[in-house]
Amino acid sequence: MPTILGELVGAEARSRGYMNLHVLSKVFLPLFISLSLPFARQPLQALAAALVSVAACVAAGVPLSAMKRYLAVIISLVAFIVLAFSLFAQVPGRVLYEVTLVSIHAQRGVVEWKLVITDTGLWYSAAFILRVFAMVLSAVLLLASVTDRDLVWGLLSLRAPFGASVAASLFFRGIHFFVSDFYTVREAMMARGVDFERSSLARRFRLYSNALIPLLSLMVTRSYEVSLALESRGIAPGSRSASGYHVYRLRPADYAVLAVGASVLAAFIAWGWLA
Amino acid sequence: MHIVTFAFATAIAYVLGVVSSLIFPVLGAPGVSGLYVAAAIYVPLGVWMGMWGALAGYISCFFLGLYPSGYSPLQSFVWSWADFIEALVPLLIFKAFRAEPDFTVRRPRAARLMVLLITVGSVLLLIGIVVQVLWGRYGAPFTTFYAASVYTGTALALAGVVSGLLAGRPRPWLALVLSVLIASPLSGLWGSWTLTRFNFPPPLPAGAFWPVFVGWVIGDLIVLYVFSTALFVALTPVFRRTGLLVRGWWA
Amino acid sequence: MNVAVVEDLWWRYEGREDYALRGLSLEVRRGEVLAVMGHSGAGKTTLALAMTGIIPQRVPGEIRGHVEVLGLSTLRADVAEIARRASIVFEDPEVQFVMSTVEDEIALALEPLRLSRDEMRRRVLWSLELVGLDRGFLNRSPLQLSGGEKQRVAIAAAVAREPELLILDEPTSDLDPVGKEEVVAALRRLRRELDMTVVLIEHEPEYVAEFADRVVVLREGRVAMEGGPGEVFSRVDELRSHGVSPPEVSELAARLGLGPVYRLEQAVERLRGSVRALRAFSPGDGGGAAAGETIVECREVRYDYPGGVQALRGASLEVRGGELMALVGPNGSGKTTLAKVMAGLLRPSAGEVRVMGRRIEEYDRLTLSSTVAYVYQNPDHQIFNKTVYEEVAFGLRLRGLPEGEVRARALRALELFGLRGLEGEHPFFLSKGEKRRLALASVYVLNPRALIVDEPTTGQDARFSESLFAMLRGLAREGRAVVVVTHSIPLAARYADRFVVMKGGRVIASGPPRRVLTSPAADEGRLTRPQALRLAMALGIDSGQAPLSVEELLRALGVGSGPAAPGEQA
Repeated sequence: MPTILGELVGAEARSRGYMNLHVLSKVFLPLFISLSLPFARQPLQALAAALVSVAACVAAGVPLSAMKRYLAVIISLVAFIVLAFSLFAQVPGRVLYEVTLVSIHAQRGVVEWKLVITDTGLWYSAAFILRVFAMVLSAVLLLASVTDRDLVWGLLSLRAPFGASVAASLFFRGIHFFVSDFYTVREAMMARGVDFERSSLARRFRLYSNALIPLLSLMVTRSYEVSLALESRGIAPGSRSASGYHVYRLRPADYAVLAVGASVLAAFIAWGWLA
Repeated sequence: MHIVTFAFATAIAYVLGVVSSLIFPVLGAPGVSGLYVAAAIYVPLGVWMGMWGALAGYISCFFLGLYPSGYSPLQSFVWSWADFIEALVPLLIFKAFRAEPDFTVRRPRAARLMVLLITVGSVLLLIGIVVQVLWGRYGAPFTTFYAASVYTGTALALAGVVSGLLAGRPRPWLALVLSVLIASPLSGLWGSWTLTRFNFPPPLPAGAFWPVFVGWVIGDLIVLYVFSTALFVALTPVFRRTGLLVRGWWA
Repeated sequence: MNVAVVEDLWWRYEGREDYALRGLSLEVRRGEVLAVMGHSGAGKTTLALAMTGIIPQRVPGEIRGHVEVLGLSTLRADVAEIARRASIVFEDPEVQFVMSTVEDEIALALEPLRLSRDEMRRRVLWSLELVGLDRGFLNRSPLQLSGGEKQRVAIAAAVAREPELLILDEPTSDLDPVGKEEVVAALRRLRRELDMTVVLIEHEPEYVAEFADRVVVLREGRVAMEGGPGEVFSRVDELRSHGVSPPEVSELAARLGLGPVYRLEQAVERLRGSVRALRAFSPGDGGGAAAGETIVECREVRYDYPGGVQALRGASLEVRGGELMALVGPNGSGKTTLAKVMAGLLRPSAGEVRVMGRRIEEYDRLTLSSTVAYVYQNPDHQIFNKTVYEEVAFGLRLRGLPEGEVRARALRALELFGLRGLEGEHPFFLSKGEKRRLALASVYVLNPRALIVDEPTTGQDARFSESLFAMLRGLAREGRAVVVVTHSIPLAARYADRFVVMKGGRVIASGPPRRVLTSPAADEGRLTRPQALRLAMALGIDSGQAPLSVEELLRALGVGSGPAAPGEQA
């Protein structure tokens, strides 16, 4: 059963023990980590948060290759964070490097746009960047371990209305359908002579809006047919499962994982408060 | 059928969001796109199917926040309300105007002109306002730029509004123009705010607010005026005849 | 005792002017298999939905008349209540799946019955076994199954509810021959092991002949014919006038005055004495029209999909002007991949593709698409505009032609494909057949030298399929190369000049239909031979001379001489 990240980029948690946990554990552990982040303001705290995230991912067997997919995001974030503390905002501290990029003599003064790198700015950047790592890892942990079946079973076992669980399942089915449709429609446009690469920007806009028409038409057609199929089985959106078929109980391992997560959060809250 | 359509539309919006944020990123702000095509799905969906559209906007943005943006679940939970707002505002405006979604085009040229004029006008206006907010206290040339952009932008936007009124039935076209004009900055405000100033914690430094805000709003204006208009014109009849059009909030 | 009674039913979908059902009256008797046949748009699916209560309770429209199913009025009893006792399986298996595993899919279907967990589990396993699937399928994703497996899972989900009435809406329509066989085998088991009333909506006359106790033919929303299969299928001309084809053996029997015959084994029994006359028949090689210049040529083409699937393993092929070529073979043999490579939509990993003698890489997108046009299996994938006219004009405008010329050519194409009068219509609201013709018109208007059409007759009725093949043959006679990827072997055998059989990413046979269909390649490629040919082979006719169609068989017997029937091989 593919996980969300597995479906999208082929990266999944490999630890059988972790994957067999209840969906609540797999959702709450990354949530506890992400709840800790607001309290990790200092670089040391942020480093600790990053390490905790790494440990959680390692324990879950999430392959480091999953991070490759976020590399562009991380690099652009790091660059932007450093720029933010040196270009968009000047942080007081010992100036390590300074250059004036633009200087405009306005009516009531001189407006200067300067790049100023200070030690405090770098310190702040480090804390932010480490928090970014923790943030990304908590997202990876969630997506690489939760399958769509987990979500659906979780909802059914909580006696959520069928509408919710079927919608959750259809969301993931929809991703699969849509990606396939998107490529087919794009290909069909090429078959008619559209050359996206050589088209002007204005034309590309028109062509992409043309492409959205069949995609949404297909969506409406599919919705109609799927709805008929569901109705024909007597599945009403508001009705709930009464069978208990989807038995999905928390086990000792789940309680242990949840306790660890809660403890981590408590520790960061205390540390943040004390610091 | 609404639930099924909502689920599929959320999936489409999510995939388009992923594609948009990877192809047209606002540098340094993951998940923010200079051309967020996903908005062209859930904003019209809000007008056609009420709150289902707003929910589709929220959920697709939530998952976008997780992948490929890398925000934590909590950060994404807070941030995603931006797209909810973006779909909710047009819905509220259409209801306030009691405007039936009917985008039958009577004058195609006027419709095309509307899109061009109002997009360019709105973008100019936005840039002018941002310049004034950030540097207006220094006087000329910033105030000069501001004045020029306000006059030009407003003139173009007004010309665009007039074109829109001539394009077809005035009420829905006017509602559309106003919806985009209001929804884009409001959602941009929430989105940029929760990325830079208020979240658990904000993933970006506070200084990044303005670049993110400007990129966000410009991208939304272009997408909503260009793509959403085309979808409204092409697909409103489909939603009407299939019974998907919603009179209330959910049904 | 009747399981369902339909009395004077009228139904009009919201937004439509015409009634889909016009005073339809029908009874379904307990324990029978009732086959419902009819042309596309006759009202078959509408009838099915009316029998489940979905019409009128969930689909907006206007209803008059009365439908009672298992003692429940579909106007008063809720759909959910009816669904507990009546199940329906739709044509497209994919749209019936909402869950991520086979087990969850079947379990979901059982939820409204409020059974115990153990009972649900028992039924999940039992229904899977009934359709010939083992426990290994429980954890598999329905979307990753083959077409036949998907439809069997859909049938399992319907049957697990132990319905008193099972409605099957064209269960084999969207499947390749292998898939059809799997589903038919599952239906045979169901028939044998369960005492269930079945309404089977089906185009394929052979399946109807095998399963049906009674046949009803609909035409334009009304019952046009009704009776046992022997009786109905013997009224050949009347059937054809309603857009339905009888089994070929029925047509043969009617022309020979053999009495009601609707199964192959009956025909064999009756015709054994006439074999000597058949052996005198010498239909020739049946080469069809002489082919012109080579338009597209593939040499040792290989294609690997990302993920490692080797779709083409050295396929070689020539497509010539003036020729209608049928590209056949089981699903996964590489037909669509090869077709897309020829159209320049996929770049081969190895090998060479030439169009009009030039390497395909030398073409720009616009010129290539004007030379080799491709029509997709699902026309919805290639309709990008909001009116029929704009759709046809799209390609011409892309090429920067003046609006006057665009208009002239577009209107001509609309006329040729029977779409005149629909210019302003939104393509979404066209029928399946109209959409397919629109897809064809929108590429034909570009005046391509080669036209590649992917499975155009899937899910279509006999009349439309016949007219489509005739149209494609007409385009070939204009000098174009026409390639049809198809599973409709009997139809292709009558119209195509050449069969190319693929298997495992390679071309395993190429030649006139008669030669290919009577060779081992037909078995290797899992091709369904025309019933006339199977009859001839069952009668022990020399396979090299075997007739491919009813007309050929009749001529061999000295009956029905004269010019060849439309689509007939020379």
